[in-house]
Amino acid sequence: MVSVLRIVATVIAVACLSTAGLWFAADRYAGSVVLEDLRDRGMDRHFEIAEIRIPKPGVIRISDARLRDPDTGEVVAQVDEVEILLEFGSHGGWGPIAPALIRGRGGRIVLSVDDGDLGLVRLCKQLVVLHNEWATRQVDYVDKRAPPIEVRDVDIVLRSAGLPLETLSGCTVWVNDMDVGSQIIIENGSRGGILTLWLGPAGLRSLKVSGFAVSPEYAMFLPGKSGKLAEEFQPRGILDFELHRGLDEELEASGVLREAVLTPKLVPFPLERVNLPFEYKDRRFSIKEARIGFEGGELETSIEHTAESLTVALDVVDASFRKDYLQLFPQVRELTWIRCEDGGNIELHLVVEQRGDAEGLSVRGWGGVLVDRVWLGPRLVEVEDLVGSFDIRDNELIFRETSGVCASGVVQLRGLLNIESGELEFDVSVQDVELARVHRAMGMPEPDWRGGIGITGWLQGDLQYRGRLGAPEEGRGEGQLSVRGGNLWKVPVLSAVLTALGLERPGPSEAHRLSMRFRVRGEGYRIDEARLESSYLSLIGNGRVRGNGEIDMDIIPLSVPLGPLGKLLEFVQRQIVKVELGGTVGDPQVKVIPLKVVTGPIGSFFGWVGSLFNSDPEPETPSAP
Amino acid sequence: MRIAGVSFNRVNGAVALLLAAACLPACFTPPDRAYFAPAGIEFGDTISSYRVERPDAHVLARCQGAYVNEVDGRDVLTVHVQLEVTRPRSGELRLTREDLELDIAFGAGGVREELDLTDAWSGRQQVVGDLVVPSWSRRPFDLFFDAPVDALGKLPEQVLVRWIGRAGGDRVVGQCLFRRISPADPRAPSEDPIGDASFGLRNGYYLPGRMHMRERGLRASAEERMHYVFHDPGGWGW
Repeated sequence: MVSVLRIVATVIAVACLSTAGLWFAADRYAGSVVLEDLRDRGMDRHFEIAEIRIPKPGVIRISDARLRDPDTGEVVAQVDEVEILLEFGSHGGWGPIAPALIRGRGGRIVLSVDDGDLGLVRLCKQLVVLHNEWATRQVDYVDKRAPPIEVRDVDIVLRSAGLPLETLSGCTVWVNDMDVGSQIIIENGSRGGILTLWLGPAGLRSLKVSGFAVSPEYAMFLPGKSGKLAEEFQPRGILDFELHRGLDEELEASGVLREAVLTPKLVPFPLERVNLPFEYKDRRFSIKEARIGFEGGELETSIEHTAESLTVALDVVDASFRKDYLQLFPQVRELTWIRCEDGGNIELHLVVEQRGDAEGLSVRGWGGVLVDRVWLGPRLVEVEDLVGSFDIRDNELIFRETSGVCASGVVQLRGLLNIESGELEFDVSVQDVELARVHRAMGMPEPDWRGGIGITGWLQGDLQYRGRLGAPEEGRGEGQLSVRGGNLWKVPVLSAVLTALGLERPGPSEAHRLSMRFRVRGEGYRIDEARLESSYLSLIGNGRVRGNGEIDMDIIPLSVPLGPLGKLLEFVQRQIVKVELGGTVGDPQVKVIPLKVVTGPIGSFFGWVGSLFNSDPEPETPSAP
Repeated sequence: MRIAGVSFNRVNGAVALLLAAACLPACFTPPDRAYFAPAGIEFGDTISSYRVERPDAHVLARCQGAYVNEVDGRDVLTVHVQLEVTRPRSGELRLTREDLELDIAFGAGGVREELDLTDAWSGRQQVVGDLVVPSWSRRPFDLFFDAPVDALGKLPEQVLVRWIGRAGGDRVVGQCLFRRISPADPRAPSEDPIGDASFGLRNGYYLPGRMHMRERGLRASAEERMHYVFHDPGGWGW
């Protein structure tokens, strides 16, 4: 019994030693054998292996395997550790063996842009070539298909010359060789989503992306101008996408970028809640009725992009007005005459086109805007409820009827702004503006009604202006204004005139009518004619007010109502004096000059007196001093 | 100057005397005028407005008072309301005449009367049909609600104006209650004659002071305004 056991033990020991020897030999020489085999098959141009071990029967372990582009020599994939599970031939014995499953862990795959094929990566090409070479030489094995490949914990590096890298860490890659072609599935471990590629002998046949989190770097996979467009808008979101190569080798693609955020370089705020359905067919890239949200509103857009043209349509309806919309103007730094705050409503319909090689874009559109509160002009006067509509024609922004409430009155504006050059021209008018409330509109304390009547009156006026943003010295304009139905004697300039003439300030019931015709010259004003008519004192004058507030005016006071010519002439002969008004608007300096030294304004004055009896309502302009 | 041996000054004097005699009965009648301010709003010595903001329309409402004036040669009691309507959306806003209602009340618990919109103007344009505000624009309206003066006999203490604007399928409903400003209130418009009657406003009030309102109709003006003068400023003063 003992002998039998010894014999058995010896046989087992011999078998084990033989197996161990074979195992050792296989493990020892497997690397060189496999590398030799790769060389025989011509696959060493694609594969590079650092070490091959056989840790147990039927298992080959490869360390640091690299897949190389044979044309450029570039390593496009590297796996730290690969196990190949072997399957013996079905006819038994020591016949041919073939890998049944390839499992890997760790590594790095570089995906870089292939310019000619809409993001087809070289890795895919190399795998296809490799598989084809393997399959054509596998003459003894029944199943010509490549074994399933599964590699976990792979870092996938997206690379394109000149663009930053995007690394997807912790990905799992499956490769399945099937009758209809090879399938590669990549699960994005760090961000979720699955990428499925179908490869045929000629390369990529289809690609499907499901729930793949994309970042702006993915723009490199888009062709030509679409890629540039994506670069401009910096998309980030979840991508569902399918791409097919038709029998005619033309690519067709469709998908949607959802839950996305765009950060366009030209827009000063992020665009959120983006849902972008897109399609690429017949060499035409289109986005149809995409919805893009932003704080306070939503934008609907459609894009058609071919090799010959690009058309972008934008529609915004019922969006809240935001002050940072002004940042969209190229000359935003020059918009010193406009300040606004959030609040209001805006509608915009815009079509942007680029045809062929034509330089510049064709822009057409219209819209409407309501701004709850805005401050306008060099003194930044507060205007509420500014409402109006506008047209956009290429570089021109044309304001149609626009009006707002200012100091209980109404400001109306229409004009044109060249967005590119900054040239502008507009007509502005004010009606029924309450002077007592202008204080508040200009940010000054409002007089208390209980403290007696201060400066009151209702202002009408208009101005035609032409100039350029950022160059107020070039501004030219002309206009007129009148104040009626109030009391102006507390205006510093008029108060100073009264004091200089030794007159008491008249009571609040005195009727007033101030009218003025003026021209804008740069930042100053040339007052061609100013008239104040009241039952107490009347004044006429002309002069100029400089941009810094300095005044230089000649004024002729008449202490009687403007009445019949005879009385006036009599009065003028007896009492006329000239008042020279200097200083500043806030601190006027008045000098009274007796008649005998008055020379210049006399002619103007008599011209004005004559005009009182002229049927023409607009008297002739006296020459400026 | 003498004409047919009669001094021109004497002719002038006689004409003036005749005119004064003709106006004598009117001089003993107190001016039929009441001024109003929106209820619940602190107001000053200038006219106050009531502001209603809705997404489909912003409305600024003022009451220019209740006064007796002539329409087609007959004295009527008129409540003069000014609306400035802003349409901050696409699509026009339309107010039919039936959508503009005005009630007046004569003191607490007093009689209420509904007045009809007789006359409507937008700037210089008389509005015959509906009041229309185009998209993204602002329109002023002078609205005259009339009632036979004999039927009422006195001036109201309260004015309630209601409106319904229609924009597509949406409705914009608003109202404003105006209370009479006591003549003893220091903020009440002065009874002094208006100094600049052709302008028509003093402190924002339409033709305030002792003024007999004659036949209503748009008066010529060389100026562009939001609101115009509808009564002869040359009416006999008090």
